[in-house]
Formats: sequence, structure tokens, C-alpha cells
Amino acid sequence: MQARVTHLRSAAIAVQDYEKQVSFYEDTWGLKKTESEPGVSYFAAEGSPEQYIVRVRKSDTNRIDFLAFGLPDAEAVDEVAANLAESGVKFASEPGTLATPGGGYGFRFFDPDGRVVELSADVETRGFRVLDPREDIPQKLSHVVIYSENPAAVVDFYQQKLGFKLSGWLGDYFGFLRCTPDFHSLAIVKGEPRLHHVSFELRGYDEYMRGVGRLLKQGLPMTYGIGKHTPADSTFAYFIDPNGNTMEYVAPQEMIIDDASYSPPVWGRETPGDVWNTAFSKNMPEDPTIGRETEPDKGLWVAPPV
Amino acid sequence: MPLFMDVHNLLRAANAEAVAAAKARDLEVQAKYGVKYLRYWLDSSTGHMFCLVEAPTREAAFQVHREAHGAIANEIYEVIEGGLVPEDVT
Repeated sequence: MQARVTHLRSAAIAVQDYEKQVSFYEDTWGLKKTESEPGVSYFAAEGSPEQYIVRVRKSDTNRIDFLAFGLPDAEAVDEVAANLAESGVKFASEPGTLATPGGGYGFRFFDPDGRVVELSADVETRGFRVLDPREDIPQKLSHVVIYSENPAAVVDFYQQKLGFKLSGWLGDYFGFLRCTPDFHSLAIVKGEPRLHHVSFELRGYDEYMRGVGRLLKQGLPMTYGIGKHTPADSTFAYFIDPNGNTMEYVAPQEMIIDDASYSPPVWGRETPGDVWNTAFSKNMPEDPTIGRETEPDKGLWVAPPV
Repeated sequence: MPLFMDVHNLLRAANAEAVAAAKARDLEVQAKYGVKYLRYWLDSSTGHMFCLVEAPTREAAFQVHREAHGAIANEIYEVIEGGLVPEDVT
């Protein structure tokens, strides 16, 4: 059987206002800056063994630098790289030793929309701790959602080439993919290719509510929340970061542990966006269009410099 | 060795066979972390599961689940075991 991606490691973004973004993750969002070099900072979550779950790079344009996923071992890295090469996929780097925190063995390639994806194995883990009740900071990276003009083709690519499993569709415009029991680690929504949002998981409902309340009190613009989606039985609270990206706080989502008996649902367009009926906007600018949409990704088909 | 009870709140499609298969993978991984999963209880109708585990730390118990099958518990508590003698049960 073809090697499967084991989990979501990190999301790397490049932003124009680097200092504000670094301060946002460290002082507001609740991540821990672990390493930095000029113009690049790495952030970990206290509850996660990943060396970093977010990387921020200073740039003239806002873009996704890469999305990083794990593979079981170095052999799997070579196997997946060979399969991708055979399919004509374009590479941003060949398999080799990684220079990012934790090292490891991996490579980067462009997905069908030109987004850079990093696959790696043997990355050194980081000491983590199980968060205590009432700790209102993220314990791990939950999922990333990206736009594509052709969600069906991109969902198919991630299933066929990387071993993701389909968890469901919202209409024909929002496909959910899992690589662990978590309902989704990646989702593809129809639109001009760019970041939709990055989601961070808190320990439970109480910690999620406390975290959202802390962000609201600090004046962070919340576009939509607090509420609960039908897919994944997943809570949501979407906020705008200093560079106009959408970042989410979420409580743990549904887990699917029996793939054989699970049939991916297709939810209709009439599916309510918020089953709790509690969602609203707060701290938003008077012009609601400001900052609501992440700008088009300027980094498609371009390898990040770091 | 500390005794912990972990709690899984959100298991979907959690039939007994699938859970047994996941627990078997825990047993394959646990020695590496000095962990011993002892018993578990499942409510498959609501997707709740409770695992009793001896582990040096909460983190070690989590790490076994993470590596074995990825279904990490939502909560974990250090517990002491108690029991009721028959005459106390009415």
C-alpha cells in the first residue's frame, strides 16, 4: 500500500507586517516562539510535540510559504517523492536533510494549484505537556483550509497521491480530508487559490470559550463565532490577524476511528452554518469588507526562499 | 506508578471491533514509553470511551495513543481506585 501522510505538522506563511504578526502569535494567540533568524520566526504549541506548528516569514507579499505534513519514515519519503515525480508533479526541493527546527528528511513540491507542500519524516520531537483544565491557549494545530477553483480535483489529488481520506463534502464546494482520526486536517473550498483559514485547537469547550473571551477582550476582530458547524461537530471562532489572514480557535473535533464503517456524508447547501445559533461578529471595522478576505496568494508556483 | 483515567468524548463510528483494534495497537507501542493500558469502557452510542492506564506521566499516556492510532484523549485525570464492599451497596 502506498505510504500515507501521518499528520499535519505546520503552516508556514509570509506576511508584509512581520513584527505585528510575530507579536500576534506570541502575545495574543498563545503560541510559544521557539526559534528565530532574521525575518523568520517559528512558533510551537505547548501541547504539541511538533517543533513548530506555525512559521512566519517577512516578505513583500502575503502568501502561504508551505503546508507541512508528516510521513512514517525516510523510506516513505522517498517512495512518495518517486510516485509524485512519476506523475509529473513539480518539485520545490528534492528529498534531503531539512534545515528547519528538528531537522529530518523531506522535500517540497507544488500541489495542483501551485501551493508548496512539505513532506518529512524523522523530525525530532519537542517536549510537550498535557494542558490543564482552564488553560486557554492552543494545544495543537487543528486544520488548514485552502481555496481552489477546482476543489474536487484537489481533494482527489490529496487522496490519491498522499493517502488522505475523505471525511465529507459540503455541497460540491467544500471537501474535508483527514490523515488522522480527526475529522479534518485539511479542507478545500471553492475560490481563487489562497488561504481560507488556519485553525488551532484548544483543550475543550471551557478552554475554547475562555480563549475566545480573552481575544475579544483584547479587541481582536472576530468575523464569525462563537458557534458550531455541522461537519466535524466542530466549534468555531474566526478572527482576523494583523495581516488580514483568518485564524480560528476551535475545540476538539469529531474523531473517526473506524474507516471501514464510515461513509462520508454530503451536506446540502441548506445546512446551517451554526447549529448553536450563537454566532455573531464583534470588534469588526465599520466597513465589514475590510479585512474579511485573505488576499490572493502571490506565492503560487514560487518556492519560498527559506 | 501513577494511575490515570483518560476520556475520549468525540468518537464517531466507534464500534467495539474498531476500538479493540485501536487498543491492540496501544499494546504494541506502550512498552516504549513505560506505559500499561489496563482496561477501557466504551459507550459506542455516544462515542465516549474511558481508558484506565498506568503511566509515568500524562504525556507518556498521550504519546502512546498518538503513535498507535492518533486518537488522542480529550482529557486525562490522575485517579485513585476505590471500591464498595457489598454491604455498602443498596
